[in-house]
Amino acid sequence: MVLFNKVTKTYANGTKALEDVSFRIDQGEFVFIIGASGAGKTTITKLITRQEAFDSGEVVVNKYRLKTLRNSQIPYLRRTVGVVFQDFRLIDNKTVYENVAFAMRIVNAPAKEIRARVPHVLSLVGLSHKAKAYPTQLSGGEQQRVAIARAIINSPSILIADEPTGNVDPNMSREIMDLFQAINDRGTTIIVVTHELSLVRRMKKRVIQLDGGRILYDKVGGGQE
Amino acid sequence: MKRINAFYFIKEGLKNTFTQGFMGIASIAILLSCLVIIGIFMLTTENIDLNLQNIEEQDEIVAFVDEILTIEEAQDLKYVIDAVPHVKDSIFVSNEEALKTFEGQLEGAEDVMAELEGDNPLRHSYRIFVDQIENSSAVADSVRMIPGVIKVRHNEFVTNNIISLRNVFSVAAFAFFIILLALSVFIIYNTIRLATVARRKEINIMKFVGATNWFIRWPFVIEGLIIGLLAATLAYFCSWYLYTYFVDNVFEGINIVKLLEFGAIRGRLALIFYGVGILIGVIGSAFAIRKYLRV
Ligand SMILES: Nc1ncnc2c1ncn2[C@@H]1O[C@H](COP(=O)(O)OP(=O)(O)OP(=O)(O)O)[C@@H](O)[C@H]1O
Ligand SMILES: [Mg+2]
Repeated sequence: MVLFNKVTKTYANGTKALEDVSFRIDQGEFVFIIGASGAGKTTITKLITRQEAFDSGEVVVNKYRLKTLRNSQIPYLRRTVGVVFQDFRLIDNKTVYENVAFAMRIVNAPAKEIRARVPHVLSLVGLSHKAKAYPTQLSGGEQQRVAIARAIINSPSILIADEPTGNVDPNMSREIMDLFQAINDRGTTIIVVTHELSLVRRMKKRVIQLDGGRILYDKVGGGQE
Repeated sequence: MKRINAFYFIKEGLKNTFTQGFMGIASIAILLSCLVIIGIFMLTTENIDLNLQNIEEQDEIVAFVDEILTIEEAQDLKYVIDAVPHVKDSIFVSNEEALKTFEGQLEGAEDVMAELEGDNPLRHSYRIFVDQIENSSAVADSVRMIPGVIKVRHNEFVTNNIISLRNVFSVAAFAFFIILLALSVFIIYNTIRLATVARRKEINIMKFVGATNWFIRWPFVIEGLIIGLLAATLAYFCSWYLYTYFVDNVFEGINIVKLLEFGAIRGRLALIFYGVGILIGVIGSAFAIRKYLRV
C-alpha cells in the first residue's frame, strides 16, 4: 500500500520536484506513472524508498509512516519494497546466482532457504540457464531480468521499476511486461515508471500522469498526450 | 550477532583484505612500518631511561659530620637526616671505614698512612639517597641546616642536567608517538576508504535491498581488524630481529652503556603493537565507511 497525501518535495538546490501530490495505491494494484522528463516520476520512487525526505504532507508505505520513520527503521521499510533501477545496478564480479542470493543474505536468510529460493526465482524470470554467467556476459534484457529477480527475491509487497523498458527492444519490453503481470498475479503491487505510451495503452492499467510535479490525471485505461 | 552472520562477516573481511590485493598488502606494510618505528622508539626510550637511572643512582649527597661530635652522637644524626622529606635512605660511614676505602683506592697510600701514625684526619659522613632526583637540591639544602652537619657535597650541575635531559626526552618521545599514531590512523582510514570506494556500488545496492548499517559495516571493520592484527604480529617479530641484531652487532663490547634484554620489554611491546594495531584498524575502517552509509 502506498499513500501520498498533499506531498510537496523541494530539493536542496531549490528545485520544486513535487507539489501537492495525492494518490493511493492499494495492495495488488498495477500502476503506471508517466510524464515528461523532469515531471517528478523518479522523485516519487525516491520518496517511497526513503532515499529522499519530503517537505510536507504525508507518505505511508505499507505499515510505515515515512514522516516520523526513524533511520534505524529504513532497512526494514526497504525490505518491503523491491526496486528495479534503470541502470540495473548489478555487481559485475558476482555471478547471476550470487547477485540474487546476495539480496537474501543481506536480510539474514538461512543458507538452506537461499539455496531453495534463488533457483526458483531465476526460473520465474527465465534465467535458470544463465545462473553461472556474469552480468557483463548478458544482454540488456537479461540483465534487466536479473535485476527483477533480485528485486522480488525477498518477496516484497511492492515492486517498483523505473524505466524498465528504456534499454530493450519492443519484443523484450513486452516480455518484461508479461513478467510483471505474472508477479502481479501473485499479489505483489507493481509500480512502473515509463515513457512508452504504446506500452501503457496496451496494458490497460491505472495510469498516473505527472506534469511539472503535479498530478495531471489518475485513471484506469491508458493515456492521452 | 547470529552465528551464521559472524561467519559471513569474517569471510567477507578476509576476502576483502586479500582479494583487494595491493591495497590490503600496502596498508599492512605501512602500518607495519609505523609500528616498527614506534617499537624502535620505545626500545630506545626504555634504554635511555635505564641508563639515566644508572646515572641517577650515582647521584648521591654526602653530608660530613662535625668532628666535635662523638661517634654515638654522629650515629644518632641518622634519625634527623632520615626525617628530612624526600630522603629515601642514608648510610652512616665512619671515619674508620672512610680511611679504609681511601687506603684501598689510593696508590702509595701506605706512605700516607705511615705518616699519619694512627691519626685519622677524615670526618664521619652520611651517604644520602633521595626518592627522586628532582628533589635532591632541596634535600641537600635541608641537610646543610642540620646542626652537627658541617659540610654537604652535592653536584647540582649533574643533577640539573639529568633532569632536563630526561624531561626533554619524554616530551619528544610522547610527541613522536602521537604523530606516528595519527599517521597510522590516516593511512588505514584511506586504505579502507579506497576499499569502500571500490565497493561503493555494492554498498549502495546493499542499502537498497534493506541491509542494516551494521551488516554493511562489519566486513570492513573486520578487514581493519585483520590488517591491524597482521601488522602488529609482523611488527613484533621485525622489532625482535632488528633489536637483537643491533644489540649483538653494534653495541657489542661497549660496556659503558647498559642494554635491556628484548625479553624484558617484549610484553609491553606486544601490548602496544596489538593495542595500537587493532584500535587503528577498527577506528579507521569505521570512520572510512561512515559516508557511504548515509543513503
Ligand atoms: N538530486 C536532485 N537535486 C536537485 N534537483 C533534482 C534532483 N533530482 C531531481 N531533481 C529535479 O527534480 C525534478 C524532477 O526530477 P525527476 O528525476 O523526478 O524527474 P523524472 O520525471 O524522473 O524525469 P526523467 O523522465 O527524465 O527521469 C527535475 O526538475 C530534476 O531536475
Ligand atoms: Mg526519472
